[in-house]
Amino acid sequence: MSKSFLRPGYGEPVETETLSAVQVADEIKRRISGQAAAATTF
Amino acid sequence: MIVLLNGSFGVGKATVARHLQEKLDKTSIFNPEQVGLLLSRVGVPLHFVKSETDDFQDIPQWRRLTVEGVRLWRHVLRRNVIVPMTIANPEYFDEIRSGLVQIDPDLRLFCLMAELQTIKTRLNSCGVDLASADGRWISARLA
Repeated sequence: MSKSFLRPGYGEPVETETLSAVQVADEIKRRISGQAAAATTF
Repeated sequence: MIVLLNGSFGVGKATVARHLQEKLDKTSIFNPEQVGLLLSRVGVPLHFVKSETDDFQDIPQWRRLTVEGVRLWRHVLRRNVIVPMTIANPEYFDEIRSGLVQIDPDLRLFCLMAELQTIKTRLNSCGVDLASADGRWISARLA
């Protein structure tokens, strides 16, 4: 299976093959929500 | 929070970034591609920086301005920032990641993936002719 950016280290892989852009955004939001947020200050 | 969306040309980073922006609170998009276009317009001579390159990512100023641009963007807008950009060079990726995490420790890194044929199909649907000069430039960087 040949995929672009298959090498590790370029970010957490998100499979887009069978998902629409909206679904990919939903998946990323789900992952973000599931991770503890570090402290942010502007 | 800073969300870096990496992935191949044509995989859909910009489109996903727009949808993600709609789904997250107080979030804006910073496109480093615009930094590259700016550098091109002001005439930064690519061939002086690194011989035989036609990629603005090889310009050290692009990498620094990308990080500083995110810093400024975030500071002025007071929003989370989504950064969609293809960064395939591991040294450049590490340099930008290191810079971004100093701006905001809440840095989320994602890499959108798809089969090469799917990416080519998506590029075609966006009107990119892979046989053209620009298309060949992109095609050489898909693998």
